[in-house]
Amino acid sequence: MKYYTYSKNKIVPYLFIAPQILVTILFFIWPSMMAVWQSVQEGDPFGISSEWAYIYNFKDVFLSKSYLHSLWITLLYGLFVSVFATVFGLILALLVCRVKRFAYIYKILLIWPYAVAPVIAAVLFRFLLNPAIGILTEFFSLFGYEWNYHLNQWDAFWIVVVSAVWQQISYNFLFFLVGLRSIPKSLLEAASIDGASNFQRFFHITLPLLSPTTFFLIVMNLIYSFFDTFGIIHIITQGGPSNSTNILVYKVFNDGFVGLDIGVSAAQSVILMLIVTSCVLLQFKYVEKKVHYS
Amino acid sequence: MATLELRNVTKKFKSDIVLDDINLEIAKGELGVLVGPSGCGKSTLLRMIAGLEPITSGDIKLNNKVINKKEPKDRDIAMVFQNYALYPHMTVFENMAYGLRIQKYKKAEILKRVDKAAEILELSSYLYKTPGELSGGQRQRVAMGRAIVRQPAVFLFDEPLSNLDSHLKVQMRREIKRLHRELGVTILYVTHDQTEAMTLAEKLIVFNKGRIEQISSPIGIYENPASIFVGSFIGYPSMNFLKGKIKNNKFVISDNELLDVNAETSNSVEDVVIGFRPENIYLNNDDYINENSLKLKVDEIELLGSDVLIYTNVEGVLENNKIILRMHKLLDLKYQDIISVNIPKKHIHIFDTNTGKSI
Repeated sequence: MKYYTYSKNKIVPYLFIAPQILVTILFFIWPSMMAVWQSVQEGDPFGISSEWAYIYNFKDVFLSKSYLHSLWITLLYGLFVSVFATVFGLILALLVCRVKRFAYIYKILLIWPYAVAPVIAAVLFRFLLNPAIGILTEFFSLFGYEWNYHLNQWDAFWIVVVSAVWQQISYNFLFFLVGLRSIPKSLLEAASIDGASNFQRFFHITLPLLSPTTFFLIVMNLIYSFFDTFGIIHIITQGGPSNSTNILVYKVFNDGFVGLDIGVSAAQSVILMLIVTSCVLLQFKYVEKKVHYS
Repeated sequence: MATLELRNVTKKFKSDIVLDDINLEIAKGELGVLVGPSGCGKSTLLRMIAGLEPITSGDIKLNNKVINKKEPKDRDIAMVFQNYALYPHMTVFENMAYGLRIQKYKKAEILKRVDKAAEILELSSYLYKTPGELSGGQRQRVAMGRAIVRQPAVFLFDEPLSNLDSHLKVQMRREIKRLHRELGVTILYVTHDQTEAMTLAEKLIVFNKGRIEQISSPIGIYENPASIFVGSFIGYPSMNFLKGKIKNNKFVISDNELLDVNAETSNSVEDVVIGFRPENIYLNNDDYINENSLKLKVDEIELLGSDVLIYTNVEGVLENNKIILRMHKLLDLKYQDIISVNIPKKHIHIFDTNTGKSI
């Protein structure tokens, strides 16, 4: 392929992409490399001296019970966040597609949460579900449930799941809305003439045709829940109580920056990177076969 | 007895009348074609029959049963869409079998019907491909196959050939005709292409601005158009029209007595339009001048191969004077030549200028 060029200058094109390359190297590639380097080093907490630790950091990680617990919590968390965000996003998009009047108001309101910074969202849920003054806490107590996410592990787990889902629904909603719009109306009409009920039309026509969108969103949601919910957890639970919300990315931070065990923390981040990468690759290998791209 | 019957069917979108008092019957086994320009409401009518669009008032009857309020699936109709509307994630077989599967037909029966339809449509070797792998004409056939397997009371075709190239169009047109002949099914077919309409129809329904202009056999419509619109819409090149008056069985434009006509009504009708087809104009021989003659000045000559189209202006008339002639042989004519032609009385149609209707 021949590129469209206005000048024969060989340097200018590189200058144009230099800022992007620089940012990528500085903030993504170099830190990743450093993490890999540090994961095989044993350093003092001040970062002054270090020596080769080979695979001992990794051995430490896999032998620690708290890490395995964290792994289990993360998988559970990722599963719930992805499934709920996808399902609710789809349901809301379907409903908005059916609304005839003021659809744009619903659209704006449903996309709004995505514009809220994770930290702000987390503060919001902290207010709503605060054990002392939370309005939802009050509501739960009407049914005799004593809500307290500072004490109850599952309360803590659900509050971070709900906050994360609340934010991610908007993203899913937006993609599903566009996906639904791109399905030709005549297909659904043809199906209804063929005798398909509402449910049959949805499961036989709409859902299969949305599969590329759904697949993409599940991958994105998984990555989101594994990495981007750090802010929510940091504000609401700090990984507690008793590590019930200590997902892998938060444990990396806790062990490295709070516990100052740089080597083990780096090993964890390398493992996390591998876990997410293999998750995505597995999805591409197995799930994508069932996806229909038109 | 009509299979499909429309009685006073009206459709309004808010205050706009889209379809106005439509009355129509399609007999069992008949091929009816609805033809009209884009936006005349013909597709809306088809969608209303299919149940995809509610009707404002009137009755739609299928085999003498009113089906207005029924869901599309309970109407016993099948529809072929303009864009085919094939399910892209299903194979050809699944596309055709989908309706039967939903209605819980037995597997053996589904297989039998799909195989038979595929055989008729020459699709047998494509059954396990997806629509994306097929050509336009093949997709079109799958869409028809999907309709055939259900064995409905009426087939509705919504401009099914408009996405095909002209060569394929002619081929599919004949295919539809063959299918109709072999299966003896009732069809209502919508198109904006007058050639398609003329060649396919047993009963031709000309539509304009939400109203039926004329219902007749194709040849009946061609030879006796009920209005100026029908005359101009059906036939290519379009019918020639001249605007003038009638006095004593003579057609007059600003005191020029031009042609003799058969005016059955009163002897002098004000404001008429006369129409005659390009092929019904004959050149006069130099030695012998026919009675009903006109002098025309040649403007442009188009050679089509089998025919020649001659664009002319009527001599001595300044406005609305364009006339197209269709001749079968190339004549030795050039720009600005004056020719003398005759138009037999029986080929001249007279229309009322105000209503546009035939007099």
